Amino acid sequence: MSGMTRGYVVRRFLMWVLTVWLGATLIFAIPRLAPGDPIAAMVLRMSAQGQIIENSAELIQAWRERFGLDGPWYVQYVNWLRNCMTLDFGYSLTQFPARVWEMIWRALPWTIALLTFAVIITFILGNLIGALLGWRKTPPLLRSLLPLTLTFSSIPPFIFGLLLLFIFAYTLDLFPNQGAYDSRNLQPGLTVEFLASALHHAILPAMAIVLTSMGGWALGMRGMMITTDGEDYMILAQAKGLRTPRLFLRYAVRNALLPQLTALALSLGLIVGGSVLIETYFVYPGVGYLLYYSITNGDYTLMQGIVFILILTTATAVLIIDLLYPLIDPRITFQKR
Amino acid sequence: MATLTAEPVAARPAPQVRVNRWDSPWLNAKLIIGLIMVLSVALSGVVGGMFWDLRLARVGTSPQDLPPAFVPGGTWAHPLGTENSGRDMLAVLLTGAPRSFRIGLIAATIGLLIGVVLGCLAGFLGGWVDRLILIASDAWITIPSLVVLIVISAFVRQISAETMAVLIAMFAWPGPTRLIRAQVLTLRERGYIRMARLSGANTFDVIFREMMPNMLPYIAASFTGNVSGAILASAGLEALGLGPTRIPTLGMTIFYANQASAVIRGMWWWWGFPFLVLAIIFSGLFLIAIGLDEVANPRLRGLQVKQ
Amino acid sequence: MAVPLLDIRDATKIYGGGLFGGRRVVALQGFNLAIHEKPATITTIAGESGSGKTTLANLVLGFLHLTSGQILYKGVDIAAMDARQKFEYRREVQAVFQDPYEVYNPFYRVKHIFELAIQRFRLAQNKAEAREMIEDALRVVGMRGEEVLEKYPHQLSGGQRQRMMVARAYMLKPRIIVADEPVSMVDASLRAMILDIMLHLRDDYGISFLYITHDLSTAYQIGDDIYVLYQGLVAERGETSRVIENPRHPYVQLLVGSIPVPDPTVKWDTNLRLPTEEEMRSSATGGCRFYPRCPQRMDRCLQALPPLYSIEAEHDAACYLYEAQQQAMLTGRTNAS
Repeated sequence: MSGMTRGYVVRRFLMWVLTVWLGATLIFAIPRLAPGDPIAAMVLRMSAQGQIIENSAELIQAWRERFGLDGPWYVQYVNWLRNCMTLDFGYSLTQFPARVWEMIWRALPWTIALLTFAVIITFILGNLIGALLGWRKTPPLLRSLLPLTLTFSSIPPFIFGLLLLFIFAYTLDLFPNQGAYDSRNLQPGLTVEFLASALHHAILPAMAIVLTSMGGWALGMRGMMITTDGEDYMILAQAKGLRTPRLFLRYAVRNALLPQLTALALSLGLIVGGSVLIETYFVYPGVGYLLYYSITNGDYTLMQGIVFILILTTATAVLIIDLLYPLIDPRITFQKR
Repeated sequence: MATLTAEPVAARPAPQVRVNRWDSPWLNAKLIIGLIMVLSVALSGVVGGMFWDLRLARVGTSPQDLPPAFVPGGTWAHPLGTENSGRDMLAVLLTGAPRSFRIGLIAATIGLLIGVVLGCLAGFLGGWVDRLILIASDAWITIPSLVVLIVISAFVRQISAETMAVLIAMFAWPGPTRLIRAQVLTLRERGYIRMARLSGANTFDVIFREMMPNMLPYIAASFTGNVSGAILASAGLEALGLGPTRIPTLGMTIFYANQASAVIRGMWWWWGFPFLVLAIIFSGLFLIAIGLDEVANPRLRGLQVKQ
Repeated sequence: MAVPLLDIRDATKIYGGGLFGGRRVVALQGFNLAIHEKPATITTIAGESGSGKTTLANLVLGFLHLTSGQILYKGVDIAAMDARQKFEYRREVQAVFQDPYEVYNPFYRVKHIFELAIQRFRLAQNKAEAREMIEDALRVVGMRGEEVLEKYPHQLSGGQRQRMMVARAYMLKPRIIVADEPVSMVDASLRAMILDIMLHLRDDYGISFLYITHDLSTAYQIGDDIYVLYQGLVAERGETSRVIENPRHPYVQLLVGSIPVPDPTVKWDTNLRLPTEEEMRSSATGGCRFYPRCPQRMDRCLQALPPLYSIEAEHDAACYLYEAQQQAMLTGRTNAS
């Protein structure tokens, strides 16, 4: 690895540390900057929901101690950062013996699987459509049909999900309307039935993401392709008489893809945020739904843990994309030799 | 598309170019259609208020669960039907849609202002200021904003539309900042900037008189994107039940519909109409963004670049 | 003698090599130049690209700051000027650049370049007066306001645009105009016209020029003094006709040999070539920068930079070939006295 690449890796890694630290600090600051005492508010909410809580003052005090809310803020801050580093978020407030980490750990694979699945399909499809739209030799028929795929672009995925549920789950009854697998009849495991059921359940939420966000990628890619087309190296490649598919993939798409990859890294935060809504509306047992649960039930420890994990996962995914970048960037590969 | 003619940049002996006053890149079909869509929704509250009693958006002002008028069982007293707490759907849409817009505009404007300040600082000062701003915006953009907003809204109960807009704006600055910084860096080296300096222009002149007009399509595109993002965020928060509760909004209506299992109960008008309005808003903004892109980059207009 | 109008003393500009490292490039080294108020002169700075001539222009215009040395205007260091002095300097030292398209903001009609300057320097009391100033300036370059002012830059020809730049500079009643390759991008017929205007401004309005060019033939036509730069150092300087008719530095001899002569019997021998990367690097060793390309190089050329040796009155060359000559001249002078 050359010096340039190593410097790049170190910089990206520092960026990751910074992002995670920033996220942890935000989570620490929000409840403390919010008006009122969060614990008292929570107890109030629980009693408002009809639960009779005796000795609420003592209860509040007990919880304050458990959260370490009594010490000076910097001690609390250091404790919090240490807890983040060890992923120790204590116990869930609403499902007491359960530890926050265990609950997240159960939900996380679903979210990661759904999002990876959906994002990769979106990215590939969107870029392919965009590349074909921007490529001068695309057959006219195909070119005139392609914009149809952009119809749903820009509609919020979770709202679009409602439409999908209405059409495919209720009216046509082709897909289940909630859950991640048939939990009544199947046990999670590496069986064909389970995987098929999981896929069956994932298709609608994934479609909601894919159909609504494909268009953005397609447009970006189209723009990049058109820009690339005028470049000297494209003209030279044509002059050399390279065959069209090779020209398309190796020259045009590869060069146009680089900025798209950067854009993917930048939009990951948005995608993760959107998935919270998707999971809530599809009652999909991922981290997003768990977050919704924690908010509606006032489970603040769970909420903190989830938000940190989501930030951590997003930052890590961005880091991975950033580290993949030099692998396809011809300039950096060139430096290596 | 309008009558756009390919006009090579720096045409040598340019006689009468742009004879036709309609031959402007800003007269872009997508841009105009998008603007019409967006404005019609934004103004619906004002115009609709003249024809329809918006007080019907309050709970219990109408019979419950009525279907739209054009469906059997519906009545023209409530053309778009009512929902389960006795709100008139038409009144809900007419109050909700402009409100979503307001949040979007406020948040995007604040985000853009911060972006202009930080982007110009980074682009002009360079050095460690530039690095710091760039790193901060890179890190900030990675944090899933909606998740953080959800948590904030969960702590700040009884959130007002304005507070929500400000909260959303906290996440709307990195995009404009990066864009403006990049533009400042490109434009800074232009001959006309140096010429302006020689004409005694100060930094304020350089930024706002010389650079800004040339960045306009980019800024407008970024602003549109931000409005769209802010409306999405606010609708998302509302759809989780975390928005302003007193006044009906589009997202809140969808939240109530979902809570009351409107989809299963076949009350499609309850979530369908807010969906439609949101779809018009977002599609309109999307068209504007594409149109602005074509204004900024003539190649995208389908002009063949001569080789 | 009176204080010179512009006095450049030992000006050195080094790029890079700062806190963040980067390759150190010496763009200009130990440059001296004085322009006097009367009589107005056209001083040519000639050199190939990378010679430091554009750096010099940017330093004089205040777009770059010196690494060491001083630039004095009317006896005041431009780096230490107060706001009022800076304001005056800005107005009195104007410029005409190479590219007559880039200097116009595409957003505005061309009158913007005049109006901005009038506004900022508060040159006119009202619109009518401003218009009169603009018309007056345009008359000097043989144009009329109604024909051009309301147009957009792309609607004018390169020659028109460049003449308007000259008019703009003139309008500000400057003492000095830095003309950075003003004619290299305009047609031959317009070239003569613009050079004529420069002479006219010098003779009738007392405006001095710092004429920066790579083209010795135009320098020969209009220049009073010439400084030939090579890699940031003055190779030869003197009165233009002496330097060009009788060049002494081997580099300048090569350059002059490369001017096409309008005589079909003379073969145009361009012996010039750009130095290779290796040659550029060897220039950092401390000896004469021209050593790698010099036909008359000697061993001592590698040891130290040759200083400027006086060859005759108003004619110096930085080459060891003339060391003995200067000695002889000096001793001759002492003998005579």
